[in-house]
Amino acid sequence: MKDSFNPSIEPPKKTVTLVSSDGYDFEVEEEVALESQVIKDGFEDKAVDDREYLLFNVHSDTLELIIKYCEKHVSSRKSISAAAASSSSSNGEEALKEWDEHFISVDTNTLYDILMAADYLNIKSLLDLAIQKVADTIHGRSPEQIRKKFNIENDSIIDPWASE
Amino acid sequence: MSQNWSELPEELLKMIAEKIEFLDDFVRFSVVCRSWSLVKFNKHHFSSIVKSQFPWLMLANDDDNSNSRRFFNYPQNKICHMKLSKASGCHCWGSPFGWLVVLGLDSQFLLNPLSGVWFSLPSLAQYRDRSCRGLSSLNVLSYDWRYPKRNRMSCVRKAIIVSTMNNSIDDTDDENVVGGFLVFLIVGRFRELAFARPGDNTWTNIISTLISRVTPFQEDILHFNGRFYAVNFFGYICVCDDITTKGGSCRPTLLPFASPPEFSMGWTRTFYLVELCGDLHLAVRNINCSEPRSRTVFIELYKLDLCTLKWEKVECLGDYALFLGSNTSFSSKASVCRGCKPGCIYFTDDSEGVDVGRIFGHDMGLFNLQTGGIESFYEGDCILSLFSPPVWIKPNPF
Repeated sequence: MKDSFNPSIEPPKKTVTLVSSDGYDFEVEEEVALESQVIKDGFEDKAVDDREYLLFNVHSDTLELIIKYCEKHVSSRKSISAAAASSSSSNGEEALKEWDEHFISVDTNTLYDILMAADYLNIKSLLDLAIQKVADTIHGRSPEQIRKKFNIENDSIIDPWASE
Repeated sequence: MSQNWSELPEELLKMIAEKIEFLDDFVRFSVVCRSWSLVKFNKHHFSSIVKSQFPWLMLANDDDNSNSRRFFNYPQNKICHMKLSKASGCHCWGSPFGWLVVLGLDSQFLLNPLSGVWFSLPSLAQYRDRSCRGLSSLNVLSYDWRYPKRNRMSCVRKAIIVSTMNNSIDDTDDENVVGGFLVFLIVGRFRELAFARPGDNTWTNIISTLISRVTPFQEDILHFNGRFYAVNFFGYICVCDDITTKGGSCRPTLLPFASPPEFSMGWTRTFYLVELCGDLHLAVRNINCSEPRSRTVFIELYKLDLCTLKWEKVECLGDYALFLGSNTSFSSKASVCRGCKPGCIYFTDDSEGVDVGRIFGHDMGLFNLQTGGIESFYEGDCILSLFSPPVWIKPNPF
């Protein structure tokens, strides 16, 4: 019966439903959802074809952003590999980098939410992006300016640095 | 929703810390709040940052009682203020290991200004009456009885930290950061050498038989290829082999080793010993003291052949830079040290207080060994001091 298996036929696009912490459903393509290592792992473990994921820690506002990020990355990857296959020149990676930079240019509250969600969902590239953004924001700022920027209360017992 | 950055999971804080590329950012990061300060940093990630860090210039106190010190970051042209109340009113000497030797009136210790960690050193009480006033101190009358406390502090001409381990911070374990350090003092009327390990009860004096011109009046000491080399006021090199790095009773003695090179005459000289490309080098700093404000005129560099004991004048530093002054003399590879100009000697004022109450610190600059030119690298405040002028320290938080 081996011959009847033909890997070249693509299965129809499957979708997955992601449910945000505030109860909203987001229907996304399976490959987009699989950008999350957590969903991917769950997918592989599951015997039953359960296509609904409850994301208790991710608010709908954040989930929308996360999905936007994953969709962009899935489609960019496709066009980059397509360009590579046809050996036509492409600045796809640079364009994606630029897109990322724009995407992560958000206020610190949103950055916090993206960071926590990327960690929770284990989306490595997004987590790296958010972490780098935090480090860049810290660069060159005095402790007082950092506290102000991130809205942190100074509970240091000793503060050896005065602001400049 | 509560976005509380001070409650970020430690794993994420760690990841952020590992993206930090500058030492100043690291120091600021760790004092933002309690939870951020508790992040255990990956020492290995920082070892490359520490290695590439241009030394900071610790500036003089605003006034003797000020609790904070300013650190000048030359390549970035920035000044960081740091609270160092422990070192207030103390005389500090820098080093390339991240540690300062801090000598106060009744306290003496090693201090890491970034981490705040300190280790006490033996009391200096045994040197109380051994004022250092240069050669003129041979005349006991020059001992200044009006300023006993100041004399006490100035009885130390120089403090030097010697690492007897491999200098790499990768090799040191957390428990024993200063375990391989020896602190040397050039102390007293005859500028003799004494040393101690952090935690010792007393200083061990190095015996130097008074052979005229050869053994008294030390200026600098260097640990090189397992031996301790010292240079004195006349440029003679002595060697000391019997310094044990691990306690035990010994009577280390300074023995004559090499005669001075034929250096230029006519100026007041200060000598420094420094290791450069695996060779022992002597830097001769020529100072014009005839004006009210002494200033460095030029610096010469000589390499010693340890077999033939012959000196060779060095005209070019290649990719290296030297840091001399009130610090453990050290060289730095310019290509790995951000913002460092190759072929240059960065010097700070370490002239001794010949006149009581003299303010010093202004004789500071950047000497180009090839062209002979001198430029200044810092012209801001906090240069002058009665006893603790600006010093070089290579910052290292570990």
